[in-house]
Amino acid sequence: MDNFLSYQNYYYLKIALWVSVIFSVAYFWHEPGQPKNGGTWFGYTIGTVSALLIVFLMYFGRRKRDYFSTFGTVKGWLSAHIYLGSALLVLATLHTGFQFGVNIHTLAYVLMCFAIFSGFYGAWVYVYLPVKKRKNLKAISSEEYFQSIEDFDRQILKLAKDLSKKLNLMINSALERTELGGGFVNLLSVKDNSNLVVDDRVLANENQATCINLLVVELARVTEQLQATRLKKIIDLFGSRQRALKVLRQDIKHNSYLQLWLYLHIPISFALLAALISHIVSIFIYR
Amino acid sequence: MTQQYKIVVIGAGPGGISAAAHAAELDISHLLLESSPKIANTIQKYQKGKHVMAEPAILPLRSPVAFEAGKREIILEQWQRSISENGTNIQYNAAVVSIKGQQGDFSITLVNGDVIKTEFVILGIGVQGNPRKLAVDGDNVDFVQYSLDNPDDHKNESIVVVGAGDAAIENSVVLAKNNKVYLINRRDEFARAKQGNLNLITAAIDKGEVECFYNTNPYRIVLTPQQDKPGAFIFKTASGEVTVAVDRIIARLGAIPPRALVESFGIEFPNSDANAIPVLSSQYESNVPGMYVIGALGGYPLIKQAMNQGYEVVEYILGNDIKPADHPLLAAKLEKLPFDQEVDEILAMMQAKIPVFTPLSMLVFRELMLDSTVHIFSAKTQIFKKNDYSNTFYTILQGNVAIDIGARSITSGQGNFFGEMSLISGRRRSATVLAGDDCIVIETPRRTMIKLINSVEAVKRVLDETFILRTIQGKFAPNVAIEQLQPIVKKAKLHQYSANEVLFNEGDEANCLHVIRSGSVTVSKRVGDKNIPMTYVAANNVIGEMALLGNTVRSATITATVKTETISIDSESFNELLAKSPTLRATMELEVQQRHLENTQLEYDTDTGDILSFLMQQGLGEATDVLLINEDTCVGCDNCETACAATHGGTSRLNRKAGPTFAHVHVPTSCRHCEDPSCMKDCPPDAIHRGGLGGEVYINDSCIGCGNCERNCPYGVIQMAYPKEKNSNFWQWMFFNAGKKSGNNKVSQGDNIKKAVKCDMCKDIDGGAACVRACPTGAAKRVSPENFIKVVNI
Repeated sequence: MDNFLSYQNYYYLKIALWVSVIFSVAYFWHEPGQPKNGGTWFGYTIGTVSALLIVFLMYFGRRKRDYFSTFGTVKGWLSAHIYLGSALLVLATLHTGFQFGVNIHTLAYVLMCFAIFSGFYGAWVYVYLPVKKRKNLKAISSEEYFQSIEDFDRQILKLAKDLSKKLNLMINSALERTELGGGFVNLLSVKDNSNLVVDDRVLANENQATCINLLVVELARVTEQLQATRLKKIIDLFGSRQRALKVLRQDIKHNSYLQLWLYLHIPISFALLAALISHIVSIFIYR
Repeated sequence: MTQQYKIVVIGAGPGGISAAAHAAELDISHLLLESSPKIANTIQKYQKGKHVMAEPAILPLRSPVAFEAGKREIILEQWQRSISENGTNIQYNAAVVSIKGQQGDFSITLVNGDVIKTEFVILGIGVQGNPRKLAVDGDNVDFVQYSLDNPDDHKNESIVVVGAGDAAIENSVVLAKNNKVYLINRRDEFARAKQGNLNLITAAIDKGEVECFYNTNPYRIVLTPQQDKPGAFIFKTASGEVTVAVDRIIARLGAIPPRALVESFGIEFPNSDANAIPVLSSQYESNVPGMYVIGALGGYPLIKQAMNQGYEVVEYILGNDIKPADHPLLAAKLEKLPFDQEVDEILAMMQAKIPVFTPLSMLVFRELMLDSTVHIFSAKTQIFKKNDYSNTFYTILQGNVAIDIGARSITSGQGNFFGEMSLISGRRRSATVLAGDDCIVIETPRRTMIKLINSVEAVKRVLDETFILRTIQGKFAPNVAIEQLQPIVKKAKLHQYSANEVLFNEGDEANCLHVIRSGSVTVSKRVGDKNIPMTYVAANNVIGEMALLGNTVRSATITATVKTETISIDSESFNELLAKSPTLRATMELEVQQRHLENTQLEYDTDTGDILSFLMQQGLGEATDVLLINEDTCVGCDNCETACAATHGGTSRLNRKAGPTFAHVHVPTSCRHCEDPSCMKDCPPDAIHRGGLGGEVYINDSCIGCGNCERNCPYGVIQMAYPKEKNSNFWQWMFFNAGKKSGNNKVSQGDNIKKAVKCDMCKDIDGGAACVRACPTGAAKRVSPENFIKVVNI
């Protein structure tokens, strides 16, 4: 099926390749009589084209939010955004004439590279992660996982009422102190900071393992049949809960990765825009 | 004790109040009987502060009781004041048990045994029915109630709720916040409740917020004047009697539909259809002389209509032949016609000239004409085009039309009708129709026609026969004269199948073919020990002809996806058709070959089959256009929802996350534009329409916010929403943080009401569906069921 990369049989890829090839050939053909740089007539031409391209690429953010627009589809615009953005890398590099230094001009170039490479990463994420996300969720929505956890908790609490006070407290604390998500690092590393309280001590309860262990130990001890069935049920419920939590943690990670790169890509792009304006203004002033 | 009146009005709803008040105004001896303790029971049950609309706006009000759109409380207070000021004689808590006798001498027996004598009876009891009573000893005490007005009025009370339906659950859950609530369920589960409510009540019971007694029957209520609670409720559980001291008992046991009661008065209904309306004269008189029916029971669900009828019916009883309030509307409608006649004469002439309308009573026809449009077309005007998605019904009053079916056109003349194919199947037009010379046609909306088909047997029969004839002619024998087809039409049969019912099985002997008239089917084949669906066939297509052509057994199993109607033609008739149209066999054989080829390709692709059956389970068999999301490319950016909200007054009509998923196909909660939309069935102002080239089902501005469509939609795609402010300017939002982000609009200030909103397939927006156009990865797609296979195979 047509996706944003293969849009209209790679139409924009073809354009991007043609543009890159033509300008590259022109670059090698062009003999300015001085070291190749952005100040020759060819350098100005390719610089102007690149600057216009940057404006066009940044306008994607507006087009995406212009819901009444009939000027193409957002999918088509994204396809153009990616491929023409890639072509920009070639064009801008030719524009530098491979002259770099510690100045505003090179800063603009470096920022542009960051923007483009973060975009490459974003495109990769957009293609690769949805499939992973779907396979992880197994056709059940994250809301349904949350609901089922709520359901398990309710059943566990009901059953725990009839256990010893110590166990009941432990189970309650395990439920209350289950953590999902959390800080930046937790989100991305899928780290589980859950813990529980037993005998006034706080123990780590990663993946609900400690809780299940304690319950299993208890199960081995009980002799009364009713109590044993109850415990078994609770252990089963914690098992299901553990699985649901695992899926949700993965899902939260996937969602974070799907969004996170934009928090780099967009600010960098604006920084690039600022640097680009300074670059253009400065060359006209200090020419 | 026996009282004697000239007019007794039963039911103090808008119609009843208006009738009784008019009688009071004219100083006629009258009595208004109301079974509940207050007037306008149905409106009393509306939520607090609900805005009540006064549709249709163009209809003038004719009643001594004032009415204009406004808050529920103000309207009720106004009515109450009107009737007490003009001396209307009303008796509350006076449910009628029976009516006997005839015009001039009716005897009405009330629930308390009183008998009332009257010359005329006006029935305005609505269609809601009376709440089913608790029916235990002591249930007539004042702390037993059958509705809950405002849950916040009750705090720290001990309340028993009886019932297991949605109303009982909703009341229990909301009251449990501030009160001790017991719930009595006669069965061992909540089988009748919606899923959402089921989750709510299970959670509340598990948490101990509501104490539920299952398999329990109410037994007795006793007064306990010495104790701090006014009474005690005794009920029988499986393990014995339980007594609970109560402040309040709320019984939510459903309502008794009024039809049985009305029939016991002698009033006849034309058929057993649940929506059938009693046959009435143009003066609202039923088949029982002297007994009149007004309001919703007579098929007029709007408040203003009912009030006008109340006024008119009293005038009719007095022998004054006044013109109905809708008279000027009809006059305006018929004004441009080249007939120099009175409105009533024109209507009578129409009924005489158009056989399908002849069996209608004058009143029903009047109503039909109010909804209809009369067109005078110049020759060659296109009335509708093949594949248009309109579904109105046309009758020819004068002149003729040319119906283009494929190679040639059929001329249809005065008194005939057309457009019934789309009316019945809900699918696109099957032919183009052009106007002839001096052509006058009447266009009747689908809703009006469906109501008519359900209530007038003769109309249904004529439409069915014509439908079969035209189907056979159009599909198999366009060049054969109608007379020659008649014997085949006579032998053709109409079948109805419910969802998942099998039309025939693979391997069965083939003896007939089916033309799908409405609904749709899946074709599945046995692979190993599994039935794999291979394709989907929509209405207006032929199935089962493969085996008939080859004289073999069925090569696949055909299952109805939704309620489906088909016309079957037996093999003998089919052979006759083949003989009559020499080219038919060749064309059909070609189609069959094509299908064989497709089938072999799909045969071993079980994934496709599984996805197809999943889509059918989601009710997509009745869809005409549905939004699907490919989860393998969806990045979850929600730009589809934002685009929908931004282009539709700030409220998104789709919920991306909600809805089921199978493999990579996700069905978000969004309108599927059903073939026979449930939402359209009960819209009092007729605000839901289907139209345009896309066949979109949309809600127009006349919505009164009643919420019927929201409740009737089986897929939960209609929401009630407040109007929102206009979109903010993008650049101002971006650079100065002024206004709101697109799609995040604030609710408008002012006294607005919630109105129904749903997907309208972006019918007014250039470029089409905003959700699809805004999807950056192409994951969102709108598809019609015929193309499911293509989309699924990715």
